[in-house]
Formats: sequence, C-alpha cells, structure tokens
Amino acid sequence: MTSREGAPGASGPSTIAERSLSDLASNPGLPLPARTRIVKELVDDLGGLPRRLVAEGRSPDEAGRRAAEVVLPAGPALQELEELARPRYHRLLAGFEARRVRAAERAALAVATLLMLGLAGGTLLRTGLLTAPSPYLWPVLGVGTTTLATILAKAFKLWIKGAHHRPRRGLRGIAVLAALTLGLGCAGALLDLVSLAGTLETTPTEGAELLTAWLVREAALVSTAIIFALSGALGWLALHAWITWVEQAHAEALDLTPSPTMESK
Amino acid sequence: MIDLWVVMGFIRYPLTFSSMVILALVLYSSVRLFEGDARALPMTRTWTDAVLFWGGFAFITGVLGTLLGIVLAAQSIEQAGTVSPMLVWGGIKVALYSSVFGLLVLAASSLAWFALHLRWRALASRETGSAHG
Repeated sequence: MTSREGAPGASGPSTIAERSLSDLASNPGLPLPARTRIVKELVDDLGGLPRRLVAEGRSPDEAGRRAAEVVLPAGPALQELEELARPRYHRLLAGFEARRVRAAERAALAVATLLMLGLAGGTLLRTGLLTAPSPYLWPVLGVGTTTLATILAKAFKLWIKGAHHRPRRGLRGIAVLAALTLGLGCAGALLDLVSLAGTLETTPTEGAELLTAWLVREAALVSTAIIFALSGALGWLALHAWITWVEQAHAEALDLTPSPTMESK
Repeated sequence: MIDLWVVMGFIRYPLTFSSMVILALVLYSSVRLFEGDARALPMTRTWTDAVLFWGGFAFITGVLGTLLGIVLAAQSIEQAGTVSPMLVWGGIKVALYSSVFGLLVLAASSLAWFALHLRWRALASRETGSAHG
C-alpha cells in the first residue's frame, strides 16, 4: 500500500493506525480478498466517524487522526482480526506440524497426478488407441499430466490455502506447459510422417495399410495433446481472470487507480 | 445449415458453447469499453483477451473434432477391410466441417478482439496522457 488519499480526514502515513492498516493490506499471510474486505470495512468506518467528530466541534485534522486511532486495529486486536480472516484450511490444520502438512500436501498432489495419468491412459486403452501407439504419446501424456498437476497445485494454493504472496507466480509456466504439450503432439506427428515416408520408400506396396495405421496413430497422438493443452489453457484462463479480478478489487479498495499495466507486475 | 451442424457430431456442443461465450464476451466488453465513463481497467482487458482465447479454443476444438472423426473412420475402414475411395473421402469431408467451423469462429473472434483491443488501448493511452499531463 502506498497511500490512502481517499480516506476522509486521514492523517499522515506516520501514525500507528495508518501503519496498521497498511500492514493489514499488504499482509502476505492473509488471502487477498479477505484483506480487501477488511480494508473496505475499515475505510467505510473511517469515512463516517470524522464527520461526526467534526460535527461535535473538533478540527478536521484532529477528527481524522482520532477516527483513525479508534477505528483501525492495532496490537492484539489486529492479531485477532488476522486470525479471523485466516483461511479455514489453516485453522483446521493449526494443530499439526507445518512440515508434516507440507509432506501430506505433496503426497496428495502426487496421488492426484497419478490418478489423472491413469484416467488418461485408461481412456486411451478402452478406445483401443494404445495397441500400436506413437512413441511420442508418452512424453505428451507426461507433459500434459504435469500441466494439469501444476494447475491443481496453483488452484489449491490460491483457493484453499489462501496463499496470495506473488499470486501470478507459476501462471506463465502453466501456459508454456500447455503450449509444449500441443507442440510435442504436432512435432511427434510430423516426425512419424517422416518415418512413414522412409518406410513407404522401401515398401511402396503396403502404402494404403500403413497410411491408415499412421492416420489412426497420429490422430490419437494429436487428439491427446489437444485435450491436455485445452484443459491447461482453460485452467490458466480461470486462474488469470480470478487473480486480475481480486487484484483490481484490492487496488480499488485502497483507493489506488488500477493502472492499465497493473497485471503485468 | 442445421444438417451441417448435426453432421459435426458430439464436437458441435463445445463449438456452440465457445461461440456463445465469445458472443457474450464481445457484448459485455463492448458495453464496458464504449459506455460514457469507460476506463481501461485490467479486468476489462482480461475479458477482451478472453474473446481471442475462446476463438483459439473453438479452432483447436474443431481440429480435435476432425481428428476424432478420422480415427473413427479409419477404425471402421480397418474393420471393414476394403471400402470405396468415394466413401473414404466423403468421411474426410464431413470430418473437416468442424475444423472449418472452428476456423470461422476464430476469424470472427480475432476481428472482434482487434476492434475491442484497439478501443482499450485508446482508453489506456488517454488515461496515461491525462495522468502525466
């Protein structure tokens, strides 16, 4: 937080109350929407009180300073407010050792990744597309599953853990992984085509049969890559739009004009 | 026209869905960008960019529909043994419909995105100009 120019009657940023609001607004331990909500409520409270104090006969400067000191929490009250705004996930697991919680989270993510891989492999097996698969199908499955696992981890971090310190971190990685999955699928199909051309050069009589088999194999490869890439892209869009939305709401609550380039931070 | 839509098979549903999302996004973004007190907010840009995203989504979904159509056709050919080339090309033609539809949606969404993005940039440069001036 830089300044709250819009807070009526607020005194300079050097006051204890101003500092506590500033700390609250930038506290990385609290989710961004919770910080926004608290700041909005406090600023609303702050907005009405100075007017009443002025009506009671105090000077505008003194009314603003007094209102800020009364309304904005500090010390134990601030800690209590932060505790209330903490995500339910943290409150539920408060009794457990942080190291063990982290290990359990990693294990859960690994299990979810393996389940996704199993689901994708099972679908391909059921549709008979794994009888003679392209060798490039395995890296596509690997990178595609990694993409989905990265989205899952990011969504868990943002929406369940409420860890919003540098919320955009990892978003570009998701987009790159989704594009890489699609790229791998297309490149694999192209390399298989080169290989097919080489085979047809030596055995032209089996052309029709080989071409049909190639079509099925490559269609399965590229389809798998497309499904993973589209899922990755949708996940990226959902995370990106949500982060932009909460960042803009936070900036507006702080009376900062959201800059057109804000989301590039 | 309805026959063409029906013949695309299951993939017509995600294609129709993405087309409707694009339409809704274009309408919403137009209202946000052309209203009286319009501002170049980051969220407005996200909605505008989503128009292009869903256009790309529709195109790739169309390609996926073509590929799945080819897989199904090729599996049927494998089972049947020999089929007339006319039937094979007929199948490929039908499988290509979804790609063509996806490409048309991408083209339309790209044009809409370009117009909306231009307006967003005009608002952004106006805001930057007034902030510095």
